[in-house]
Amino acid sequence: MSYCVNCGVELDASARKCVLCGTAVYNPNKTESEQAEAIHPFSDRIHLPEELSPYGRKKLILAIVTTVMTIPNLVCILLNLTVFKGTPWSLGVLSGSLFLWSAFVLPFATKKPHPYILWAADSALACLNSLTFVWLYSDMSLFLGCLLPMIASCSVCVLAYMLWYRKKRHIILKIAFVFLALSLALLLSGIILNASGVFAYGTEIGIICFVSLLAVACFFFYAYSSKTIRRWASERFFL
Amino acid sequence: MRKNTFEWFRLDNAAKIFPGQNSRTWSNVFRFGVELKEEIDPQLLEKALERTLKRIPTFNVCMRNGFFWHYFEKNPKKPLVCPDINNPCYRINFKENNGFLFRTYYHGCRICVDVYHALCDGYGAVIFVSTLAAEYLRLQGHTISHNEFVLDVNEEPKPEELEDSYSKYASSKVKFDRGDKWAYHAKQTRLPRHERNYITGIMSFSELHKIAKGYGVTVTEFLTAMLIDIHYHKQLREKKKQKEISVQVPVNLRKAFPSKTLRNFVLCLVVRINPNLGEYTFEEILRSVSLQLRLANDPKLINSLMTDNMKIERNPVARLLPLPIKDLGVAITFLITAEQKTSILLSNVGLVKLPEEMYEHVEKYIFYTGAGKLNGARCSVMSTGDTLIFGFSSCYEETDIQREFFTRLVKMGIHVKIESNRD
Repeated sequence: MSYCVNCGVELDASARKCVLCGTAVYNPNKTESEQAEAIHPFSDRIHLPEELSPYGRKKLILAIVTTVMTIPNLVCILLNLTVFKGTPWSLGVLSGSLFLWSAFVLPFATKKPHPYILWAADSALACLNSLTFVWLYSDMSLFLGCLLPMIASCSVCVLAYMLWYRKKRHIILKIAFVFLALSLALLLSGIILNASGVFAYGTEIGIICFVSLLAVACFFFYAYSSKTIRRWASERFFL
Repeated sequence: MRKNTFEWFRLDNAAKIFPGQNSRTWSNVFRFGVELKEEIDPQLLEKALERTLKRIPTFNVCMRNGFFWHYFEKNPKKPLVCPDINNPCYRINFKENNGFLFRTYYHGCRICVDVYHALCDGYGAVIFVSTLAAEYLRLQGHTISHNEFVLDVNEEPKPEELEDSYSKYASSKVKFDRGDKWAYHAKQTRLPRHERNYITGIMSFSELHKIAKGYGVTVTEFLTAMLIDIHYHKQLREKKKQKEISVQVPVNLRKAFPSKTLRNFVLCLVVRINPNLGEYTFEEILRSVSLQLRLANDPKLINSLMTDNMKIERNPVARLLPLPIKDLGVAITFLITAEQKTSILLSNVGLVKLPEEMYEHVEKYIFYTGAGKLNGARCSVMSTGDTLIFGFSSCYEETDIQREFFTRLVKMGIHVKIESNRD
């Protein structure tokens, strides 16, 4: 029979320390083997249950989404072949759908795709998709002058975010950086659109988007630095 | 076919909330167990479990999803009996464990059952565990009689044991004002996912009862006041904006209404102390807790609370919503409210009276509420004979609340023995 000298409570025969204060058990009347023989009231086997996927019934959802996305494409191809003949415009629709499907649906089919592979694949798919449009309208200068720089700037913003994200960050900071990366991507896209002559007010709209998203990002940065808001968010949403 | 067997039945009013609250890491699960004086034979336990399930068919079920509601269906599979684990009350998944919503474990001389709250409340679980232990002892060759807590497995299940008593007795015309506010939480360092901190204090019921009687209160009131006092001083030390300290005290409604159900029939009363009103001494807290509990424990008031809970279930618009939307609504409500409004949970099952012959084979009972998502302390109390067990379940590493609670009892002259899963 052991008692904790700090807390005054009796401890279990198998206890090696007081669970309330951490004081080690030293019982001169008991040998080590006697203590080891005592059955602990709890088993020492920690059972970690199988991690449940957040995407329950993944395959069924994938099949439904894929079917829903295929139907308009088939309709477009049929229309292109029968009613609205001429340019193969349905290829554009098909390429757009393929891009959306590969970027947003396909990652859920694999277990855990590597983020950099996903990033490279998405950038390449975006380039391929824009190339299809360029091929349809036979305007290579549009691709080189506008679309490629836009995709490149967006990809760089996403890559910068991913590199920053590698460490464990607070959720409020994550949201703030999403807005910051988005604001930069929109500003660069606006400037490129203006410079390539596609959209005359590109820079102005880009700056407006940049400033407003930057303000939202600043709000989240402030929320992160304020202990009161963080505590409130933590208590309210279990963050 | 046996009489009174059933193929499926509806979830009761309280149980309807629990599937919606389920997450990948948390479910409302609690543990009841019994420690015998001889080592457990798993094969005998399996046999005893099968026979007990025939008598208490509300446990012999699996959860099914209907279009509008979840429902229980008779489970044709065999229940599993496993060696005990260090982290009981981990989350329930309806597809695991052969579909059963309870898990049976054995360790040394202990039989433990982790029960999903949708199946039953503490009273139902005590009866299940006591009947299981008695049947196990009978299979060992002992003669054990029956009483209120130990059912006769050779009897047929009674219809009144399977009824949904909420829908039967909720009949108030008055709207209940809950008046909940955001409550204080003693937050500390979280343990890794699925791991919990369980500490039990084993003490003499008569010693504790004597002290509570000295203050002119019941044991539940005394323990509730102690927990509030500890949280009150902890919050003062933190020097933050002071929030209300509220304790949820589940009440067995079978005492107020003539129900014999083995399913859920429990409601939570809330006792509050607002530190912003001024400084409180322990005696003042004790007096306030005692008055609040006695005032709230009125069958008419409880009926209005029960009717208020039934209102959503009876609402025709809510009934027409498909199940996933209902579950999503419950999950969001649980995230925003639920534990946010309670600092502590104190579940007192009370005195379990066993048949006389059983006392010589039973060392003690085990009872743990599952750890909450936020609560620093979720406590469970029950007593058998003169042994009272007080269990703390928490998802935090630190044990300062538990230490203060038990050392206070020791200072009052009560002998406390401690057991834990983390030493």
